[in-house]
Amino acid sequence: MVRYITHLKDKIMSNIIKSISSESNIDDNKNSEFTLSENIAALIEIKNANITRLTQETTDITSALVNLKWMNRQDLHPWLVKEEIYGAVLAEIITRYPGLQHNISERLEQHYQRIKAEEAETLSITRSLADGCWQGSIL
Amino acid sequence: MLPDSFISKPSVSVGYGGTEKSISTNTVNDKLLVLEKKILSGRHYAGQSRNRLLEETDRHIKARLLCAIRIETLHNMIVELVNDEVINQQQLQELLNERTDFIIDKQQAIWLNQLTQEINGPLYYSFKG
Repeated sequence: MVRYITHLKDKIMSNIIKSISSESNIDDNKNSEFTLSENIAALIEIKNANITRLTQETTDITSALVNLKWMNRQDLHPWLVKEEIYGAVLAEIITRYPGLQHNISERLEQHYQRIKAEEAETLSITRSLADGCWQGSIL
Repeated sequence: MLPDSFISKPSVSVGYGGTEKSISTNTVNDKLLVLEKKILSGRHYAGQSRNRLLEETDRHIKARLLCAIRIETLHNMIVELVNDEVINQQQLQELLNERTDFIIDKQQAIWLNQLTQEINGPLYYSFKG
């Protein structure tokens, strides 16, 4: 619940930032830089906490690794399922309109490059995933 | 931190728009590489013995991000197709319900593949010709 509220707050904040930043490109760049440096700081903090935690582990490293892998897979699983659903939906659309296949592949690639470039500017998705509050867009 | 292109097939190349485009792709990759060095712990123990727990943590951060970016890419594309009226909202909802049921049925197989890592990448969709 607290996470959800924090997420909502973040969302509202990011919307405010977005609406402000749409006013000019200069503001946009500044905001990206600000978001990026904030996110880097938070992610480095998480990294250091991980390093402290995982290197002080006194138990058997093999069992710690098994546990960690198990936790990580459980964490990833719902996202993989979501990806498979959206992927299957798009694949079905292509099956219905085979003429659009080439066009869709190209546009898919453009979206991917754009989102990747945005991530390189801000690390926002990496950060909210690490905080456990990433929701992803919903159809 | 992220692969060069969405569709993992060299012939659907990233640089089809000419050199300008691949230069910008490289800039993005360079930026990500710099960020990766900052936020992943892999290089923390440079010269010392590997820490497999930290390696697993890094691997997970990358896998999770890739999955999230793929979701966002697919979402954007599907929304665009609705806006272009290739498919209407109602058809989309029907398709979404149907495919959700299908994938939920396959959840065990997705989980199993997470354990075995037999297939690298999505199991139930592909955009290759």
